[in-house]
Amino acid sequence: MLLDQTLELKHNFDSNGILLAFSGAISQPVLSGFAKGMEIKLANLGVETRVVRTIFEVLIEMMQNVLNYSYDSRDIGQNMFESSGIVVVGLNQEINKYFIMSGNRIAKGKKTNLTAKINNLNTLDAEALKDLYRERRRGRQDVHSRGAGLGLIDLARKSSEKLEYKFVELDHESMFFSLKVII
Amino acid sequence: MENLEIRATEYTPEISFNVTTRIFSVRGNSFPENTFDFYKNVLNWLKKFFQEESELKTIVEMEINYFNSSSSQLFFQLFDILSDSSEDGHIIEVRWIYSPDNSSAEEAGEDFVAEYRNLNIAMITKD
Repeated sequence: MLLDQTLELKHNFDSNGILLAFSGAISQPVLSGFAKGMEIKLANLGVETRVVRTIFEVLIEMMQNVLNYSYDSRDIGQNMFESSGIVVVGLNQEINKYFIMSGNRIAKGKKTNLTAKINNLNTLDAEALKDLYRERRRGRQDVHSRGAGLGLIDLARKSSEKLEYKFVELDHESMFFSLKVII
Repeated sequence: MENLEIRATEYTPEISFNVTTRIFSVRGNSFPENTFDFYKNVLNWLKKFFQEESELKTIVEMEINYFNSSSSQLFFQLFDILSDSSEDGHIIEVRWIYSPDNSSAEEAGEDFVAEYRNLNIAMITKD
């Protein structure tokens, strides 16, 4: 990479309204620090506390999804993992809404199930999402796995628009999965 | 039984279960990397306490700032233990404490109240 490209990258981020971005190994300390940094940044901008809280919660949920479900997940010892991914938070000034996007590699076999899950969530209204969330969190299934499977429902509930997602094929065994939440 | 004391981290709450005062508090953030691993000892300790100790009044105070969705699922498991113990004759008072702008905590509290009719759960707002 050329030194000039840092400026290019910065311009690119700025022109897309990006406030904070991270690309690289996402681990628990990294995601916690990133969310905390975002919280401070938004509080300094005078953003309403409720909105700041929601963005913080969404960031944690999205980054933990990357951590738990990425194809590149790597054991770094002491029951901790790290996964390669990207996360950006930005402000769309035209509509005055925040967007949070994540991207990570997933195993190709997960596409069908993930697509069905998100498409199903996108058909539900706020009340139905709330009911589903309540039912699932009382359901006590999946609790032995690293994630509780509730994350996506939570994201769908917090997003003011339908969840946007995209899969891009990378090689014969993996795809790049991108997800966008709007607050 | 010995007290259960676990220090808070950025993403796990402080656990302070005192067997003498019988005030059990959970305070802080809860978004561990592996939620079940973090809470399993806490839940086991609670089960054992209510099995072995007398049925005097116990106060459980929970003041959770940020929590992830899998933590909220674990809170239901914790409330299951409180609810079962209450059925067994224990007097348990739960205080669910949250800031007025924390709608996630407010909603979780409402869900606990709706689900555990046999438990005395007070929703307490705090700035």
